[in-house]
Amino acid sequence: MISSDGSEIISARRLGVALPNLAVKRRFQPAPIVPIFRDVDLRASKGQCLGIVGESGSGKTTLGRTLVRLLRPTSGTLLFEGCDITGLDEAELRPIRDRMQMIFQEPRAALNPRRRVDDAVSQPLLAYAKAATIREARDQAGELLRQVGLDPSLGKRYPRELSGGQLQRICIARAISIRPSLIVADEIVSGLDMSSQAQVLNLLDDLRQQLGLCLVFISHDLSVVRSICDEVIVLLDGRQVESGPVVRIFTQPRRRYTQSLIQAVPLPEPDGSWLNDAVDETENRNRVKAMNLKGTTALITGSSRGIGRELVRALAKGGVKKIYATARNVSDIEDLAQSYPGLVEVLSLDITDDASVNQAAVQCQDVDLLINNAGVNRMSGLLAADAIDGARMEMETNYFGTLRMCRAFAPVLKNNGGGCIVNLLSILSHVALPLMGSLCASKAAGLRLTEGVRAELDANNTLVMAVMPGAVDTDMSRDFPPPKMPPAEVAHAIIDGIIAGQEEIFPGEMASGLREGLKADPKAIEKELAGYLPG
Amino acid sequence: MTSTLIVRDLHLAVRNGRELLPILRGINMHLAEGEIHGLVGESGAGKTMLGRVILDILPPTAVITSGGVDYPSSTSSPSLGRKAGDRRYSHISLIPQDPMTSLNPVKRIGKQMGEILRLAHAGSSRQIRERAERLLREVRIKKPDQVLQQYPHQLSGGMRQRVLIAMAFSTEPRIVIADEPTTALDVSVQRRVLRLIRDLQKDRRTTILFVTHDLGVVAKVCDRVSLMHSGMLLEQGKVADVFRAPSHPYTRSLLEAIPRYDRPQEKLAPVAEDLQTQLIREAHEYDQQRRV
Repeated sequence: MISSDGSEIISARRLGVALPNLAVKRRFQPAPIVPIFRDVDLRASKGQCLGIVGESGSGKTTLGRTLVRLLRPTSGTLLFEGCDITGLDEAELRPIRDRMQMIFQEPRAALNPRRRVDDAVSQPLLAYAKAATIREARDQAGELLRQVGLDPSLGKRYPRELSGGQLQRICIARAISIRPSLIVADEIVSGLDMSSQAQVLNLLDDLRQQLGLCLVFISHDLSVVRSICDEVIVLLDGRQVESGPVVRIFTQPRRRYTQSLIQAVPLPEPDGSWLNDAVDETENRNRVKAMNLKGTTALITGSSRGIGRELVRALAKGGVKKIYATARNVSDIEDLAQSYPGLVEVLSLDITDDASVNQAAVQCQDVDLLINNAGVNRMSGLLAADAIDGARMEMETNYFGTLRMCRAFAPVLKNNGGGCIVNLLSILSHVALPLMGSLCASKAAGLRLTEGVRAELDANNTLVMAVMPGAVDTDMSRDFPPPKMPPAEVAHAIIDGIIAGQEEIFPGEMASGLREGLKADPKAIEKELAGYLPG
Repeated sequence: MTSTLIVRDLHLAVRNGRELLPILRGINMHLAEGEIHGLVGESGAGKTMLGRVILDILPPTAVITSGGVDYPSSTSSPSLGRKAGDRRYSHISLIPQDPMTSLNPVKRIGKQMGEILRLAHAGSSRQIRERAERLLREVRIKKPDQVLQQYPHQLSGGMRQRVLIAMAFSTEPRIVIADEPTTALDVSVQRRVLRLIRDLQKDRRTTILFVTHDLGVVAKVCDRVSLMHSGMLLEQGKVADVFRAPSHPYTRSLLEAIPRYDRPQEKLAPVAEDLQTQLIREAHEYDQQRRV
C-alpha cells in the first residue's frame, strides 16, 4: 500500500460509472441505465505507474476516461491531487485540465489528418497558454519531438506520412507538452509491432522518471504491464477482481481470473500444448470471485476432527501458501503441524470467546480464506428436557461463533483483496430434521447469516460460500443412520467450489437430492423427515 | 513433404510516378501441405504484400518484376489476372486482420456468408443456410441461427473474428492466409481463436500462412517460420530450431525485444538502430547489384 502523503496524484474510492444503454432504448422511453464498472478503489502517486488490465468489455477504457474526468462518476469519490473532482462540471474542471492527459489506442484516429504534426503538438501549448506565440509553441514542439526521440524535421509532415510507432510518439509528445501530473495511456502499444512497442514503452518509462509523471497504463497484455507498472488492478465485468503490487500479482495471483489472464499470454517459447489448455469458460462459473488456491492463506476452525481435518489435508495438497489449523485444544492438532512442516501453523482458538477470536484476527493478518467449520450438534429435539441449554450452546457455536469470526476477519480479508469466507452449514439449513431440531434452527440461522455477510461484503469482492452437505461420516452425526458421505469428499467439493467461485454448494447425493425435492415439493420433504423423531 | 505453394525468386515493386520502389526482394519459400507457416516481420517488412501476391489481390500500382508463385497441387492455372469465377478463389482464402472493417456493416451475417458459399457450392438457399449454420457451429458460435440474422455491429470482436474464420474455411480452401488474425483481440479471446484456427486446420489438413508480428503466437501455433525485413527473407526454419538457436542477429534481437512476464527486465531492448539501418543498407545494395 502506498502512503497517502502529498505526492498522491489520483485516488478513487468505490468509484462507479453507469451509462444509458442506447442499444436497447425504446422510443419515447428513457434508456435503461447499466453499470459499466463499480466499487473500484485505486490510488497512484507521483512517479508511479498503475496498470489496469482485463479482457475487452471489462470497463478498462471507461475507467481510464473517468479518471481524467471525460466521464462523470455516478458513485464513489475521485480525488485528484487531493481535491475532490467527483462532481465538478466542465467550467470548474478547466483550471486542472492541463494537469491530466490521456493517450489513446489509435494514434491515427487521435491526430487530425489535415494538420502537420508539430501543429498537433503545439496546439495544447497555445490552448493552455504555456506558450505566448505560435512561433514559441512551434519551437517548444520541436524540442518535445526531440524528447520523444524523433527528428524535429518530422514536425513538418502529416500523420499519413509517419508510421504507427512514430505517431504514437507524437501523441506522447502532445500529452507531455503541457507538463501534466497524470497521464492515462489506453492500450497505446497494442497496435505496434514488437520493436516499436519496446521503444515506446522505454520512452514512457524514461519520461515517467524524468518528469515524475503519474501514469495509468491500460492494457490487456500482461507482459507489457509486468515490464512497466508498479501496481496493477485487474478488472472483469466492471468489478475489481484484485489489485496489488505487480510482483505479487504475477507470482501469487489470488484470483483464478488473474491467473488465466497471465497464462493466456503467449511466451516466445515453442509449445504446442499451450493451445490445448484454451477452453471456453463455463457459464455458471462466478469468474469475478473465483479464487486461485495457490497463494492463499487459509484459516480453518475446528480442524481437530472430521471435515476440518480433511480440509487441512486437501488444502495442503491443493498448494496453498499457508494454513492456520485451529482448535480449542492445540494438543488435538499438533500432529498436523508435524505432518506439514512450514505449511500448517496450529493455533488455539475458541470461537465462543470474543477475546480469543479477536486475538486470532490480530495474529493472522495474512488470511484470505476463512473456513468456518467448527460446530456442535447436541443431537437433541427442541422439546427435550435439557433442550434450552443445548440449543443455547448450539447457537453460541454454530451461529454466534461464525458471526464472531466473520466480524473479526472481515477487515483482514478486505486488506487482502477480498478473499473468501466458507461457512459449513448443512442441508438442514433448509429443512428441519426433528431428530436434531435445535441444530437445524442454528444451521438455518447460519444460512441467513451467510447471505447477509455476502451482501455486506459484495463491494469488497469477497466470495462468501455456504456449504450444505447431507449426512457426513463424522463424530458429529455419529448416531445418524448411513449412508453417510466421507468427510474427505466434502473437503474436495469445498475446494472445487472455491476455485469455481460458487456461492452455494450441496455436496453429495443426499444433499443434492433433498435440494431438488425441496424445490419440487417442500411439504413432502418436511413430512418425510418428520418421521425421524428424537428418542 | 508435398508443397501446396511455392514462391520462387519473387521480386515485387510499387510504381511511384516514374520510379519503381522495390518492396519484395527475391523471396523463396514453399508451404508444405498441412503446415502452419509463420511469416514474421515488423511493419513495413512486406509480409502483407507477400500475402496479397499469393491471394492475387495486388493493388494496381504493384508490379511483379520477376519470379512468381506456383500452386502445384491446385488444379487451377497459376496465371495471374482476375476473372469472375476463377477457381483459385475457392482454393485460397483469407482471414483478415480487422474484424471491425472486414464485414459489410449493412448486410446480415447470413447474407454475407451465403454470397461466399454460393461461389463454391451449388444448392438451394435452404441448403446454403444449413451449411452456414453448420459452419458457425463449427467455430463454436452458440446460437448460429440467431447470429445469421444479426448485423456485424451486434457481435463482439471475438464473435466477428469467428464469423470471418468460418467464412474463410467455407470454400474448403487448401491454403488460408491468416493476416494478423488475432492482433485486434485481447489475450484470452486470442488464445481461443488460435485454438479454433488450429483445430479447423488439423481436421482439414489446410495449409496456413500465418502473418503476424507476434513471435509469442508463432511459438505456440506454427510449425515453421520465416522472418522478413525490408522485403528480404532473413531466416527460415522449424519453429523449435529458430527459437532455440536463431541464426540471424535480427531474429535474436527481435526475440529480446519481447517483454516477458516470467523474466522481467529493467529496460526492454528494442532492435538496435544500427542493425535496422544495416538491414536497410543491405536491401539497397541488393537492389543495386540487381540493376548492374
